[in-house]
Amino acid sequence: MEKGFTVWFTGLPCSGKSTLAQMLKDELVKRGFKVEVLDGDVVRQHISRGLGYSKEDRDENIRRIYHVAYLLQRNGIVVITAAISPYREIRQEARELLKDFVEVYVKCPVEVCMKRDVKGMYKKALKGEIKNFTGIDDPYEEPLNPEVVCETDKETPEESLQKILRKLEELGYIEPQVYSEEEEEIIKKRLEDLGYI
Amino acid sequence: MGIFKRRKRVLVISWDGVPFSFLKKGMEEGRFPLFSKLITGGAFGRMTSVLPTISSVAWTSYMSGKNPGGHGIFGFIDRKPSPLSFFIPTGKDRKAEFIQEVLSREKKRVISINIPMTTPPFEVNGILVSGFLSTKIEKATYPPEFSRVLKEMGYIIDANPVKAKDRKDEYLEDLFLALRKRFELAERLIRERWDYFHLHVMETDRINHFFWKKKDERFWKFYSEVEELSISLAEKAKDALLILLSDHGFCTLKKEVFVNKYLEDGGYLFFDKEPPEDIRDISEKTVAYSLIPGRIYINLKGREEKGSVEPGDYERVREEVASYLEKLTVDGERVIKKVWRREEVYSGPYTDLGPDLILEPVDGFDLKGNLKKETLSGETHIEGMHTRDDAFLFVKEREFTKDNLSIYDLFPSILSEFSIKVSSDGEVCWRG
Repeated sequence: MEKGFTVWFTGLPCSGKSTLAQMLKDELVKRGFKVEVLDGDVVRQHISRGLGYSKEDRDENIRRIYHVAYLLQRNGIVVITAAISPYREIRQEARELLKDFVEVYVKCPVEVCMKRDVKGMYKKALKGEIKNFTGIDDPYEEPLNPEVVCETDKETPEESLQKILRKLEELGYIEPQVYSEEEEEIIKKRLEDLGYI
Repeated sequence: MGIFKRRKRVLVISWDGVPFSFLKKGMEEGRFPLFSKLITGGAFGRMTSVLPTISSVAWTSYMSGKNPGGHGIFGFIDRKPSPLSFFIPTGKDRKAEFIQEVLSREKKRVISINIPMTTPPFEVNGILVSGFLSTKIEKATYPPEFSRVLKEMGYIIDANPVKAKDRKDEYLEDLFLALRKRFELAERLIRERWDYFHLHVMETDRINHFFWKKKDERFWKFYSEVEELSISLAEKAKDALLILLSDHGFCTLKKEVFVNKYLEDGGYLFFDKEPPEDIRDISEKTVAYSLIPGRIYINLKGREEKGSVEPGDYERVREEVASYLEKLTVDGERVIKKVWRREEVYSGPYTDLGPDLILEPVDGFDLKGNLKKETLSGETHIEGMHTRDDAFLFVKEREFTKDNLSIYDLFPSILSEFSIKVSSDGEVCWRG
């Protein structure tokens, strides 16, 4: 059985967590891993239904996420979580329980996140229609020692993905892979056109 | 001179596949005026490359100071004997430390641009941009975020060689563009702090492959630009020890020769499936098969998946196959200059990964590894091919201490400039 591990994305709303989580999932699945994504928005519709956005409720939400992650991880599943998880203390709890834990800080200035505002939540928060919205009237505590920092206002999603993959390789969670199948075909074609193979 | 001694720096500019004889003749004809002037202030000589004579093998030897038996890279394509399969070796498959890693460990700052077999990029104390075995810019740099700089400037990993077949003008334009981008990056980085700076120009190999026969005006214009850009870059680091070199020579390609067809005709190669689609379609009756260029593997029992040759018969069979291959002719001309037994050219712990025999062709005959061909030889749009003994080396303000220069000598010689002693298959080849 493959060893499970958890990649824990954290960052402001609209910083790019879900996009990167999905890209990472696709890549790891291609490499033969069993992968489960625990997306914050989806979790709140199911296992955390009814919880609000007070600090207590947020912490409870994260506890549920890391507990599910723990169950999956110990069965050899790679878990990718994509929730804001704004508080350091609760992320530390997750790290301590999960142990094989790779924290990815999806860093993006709040102004840029507000411009993205995929679901119009920032707009609502600014109008006061949503309370305790991270980055507006609720704090986000930056990770102090994340394994990876992805600066999504400066990097392309592909660059961020490569950063994460290299760190996972470096930490020994995944085997270094120079080429995907598609890339290997590209290189073979290039070498054929040059008369090298 | 001030009270502080200036740090020793080494600047290497490599021109892939530029022959010594080509430069020498060119200079005699009045070409390469800048290079001509430059070499009056240093040592300039012919250098021997590796077997097989391929850039991936040659540059791995340059960077490691080892022969293929010591670094484990034998070609652009290789095979796993059991289960029998092809794979494309990359820098991950080499078994030896590279010069950039040695220097980084010694706290020297390294800038390495475009050297073959630095894919995937590895950690250095500085910046590394991989060569043409990279598929995308995002995966081609150390540190990873440096790829952003490449993207912003429109850097090109390699001109697309598919155009060389029927869109040659377009391909040439792409080569010019790739060359200029390469130097644009180098000009930008040479202003940084560094101890070892290596810029590799791949486009010289490309223009030689596809424009070698006519050597028309565009060909020479390209070389003038290579010369001007290189000398101009060197001017920016006058205090550095300047080294210019190539990794192999070039000659006109007359014919492609299909070695597996010759082995099949001689009753040494059989297939389970006709036509074979993959190396796994080789039959158990096979005695020997070939990979490009001229690498011959005996189908040895216990090593190869469908091995047929008993270990006790290995030497006898290998000699029989070698003797058969020596007789290979095309249009009445001898094709093979020499058949090498691997122990004659390789030494070290990875010799066993290499071919049992290595064919060195007569200039003009390009040995191919196609599994199945109807004819023994064929024409191609590719105009030039590599030669082993005609690479060049120039070292500014130094003199050579030996006649038979080898690409293995660069590793210990460059490191000796930094007072770093290493073991290698080469030796320090200059003084001054």
